[in-house]
Amino acid sequence: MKTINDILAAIKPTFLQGTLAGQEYPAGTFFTFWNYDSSEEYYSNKPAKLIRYYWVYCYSEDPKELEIDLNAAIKALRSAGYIVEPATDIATDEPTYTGKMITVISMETLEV
Amino acid sequence: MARLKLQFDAWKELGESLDKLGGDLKATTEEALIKSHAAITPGIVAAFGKHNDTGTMMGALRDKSKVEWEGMTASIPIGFDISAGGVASVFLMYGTPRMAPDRKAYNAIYGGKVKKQINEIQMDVFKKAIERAMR
Repeated sequence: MKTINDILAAIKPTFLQGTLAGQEYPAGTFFTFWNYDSSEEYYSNKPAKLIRYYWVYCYSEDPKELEIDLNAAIKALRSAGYIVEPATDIATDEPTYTGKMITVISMETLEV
Repeated sequence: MARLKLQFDAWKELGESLDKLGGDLKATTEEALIKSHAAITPGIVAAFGKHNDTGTMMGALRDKSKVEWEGMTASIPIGFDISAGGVASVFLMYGTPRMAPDRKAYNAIYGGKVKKQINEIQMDVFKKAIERAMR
């Protein structure tokens, strides 16, 4: 399964959430992401499935570009096998940028 | 701003049972929501309170909420009123490009343990109401 970073970086600049401390935001549109939870499912007392939960954020100076790039990301993530939930707005701390976020889930079958 | 509703698995079935027994479904619903709110708000204060530089965010905490009804659906505001200065809570929970998310802050409102706690409290309130109605 392609990583979320690789999928998003193929569309627009991508960073781990929180790693732009002290920096200007990139011009235009960019993505950030964060793996906020993980869990395992067991079969016969052995871990059989690894589930990871991510927040993927899209920030842009242009709301129209944001929609275009986020939709491209959603399509690419689903094609790569990720489960993607509908987008919601997210507050930004930079007044000239708007943001949206999606929850993305990956399920990986482990060798039992 | 988040809202607590009845969320444990069997709430519809228990609600119907209580109603059939002549119990006060409205009062029981409100009690379940108020008790859930009271149980998790201290955790929210603990998780977010350490980020209280100006007092603006904590001033927007919905710690004295009332149950609100929309038709047959009840809910109680929980967490922070974004329009009243609580937007920083969003930054803390979800982060910003310049600040990583605070997991404890997020879990204090949306975490699995909190959801389980709310479910148990609400189910307990309904079960006790049914027991009273059966007497």
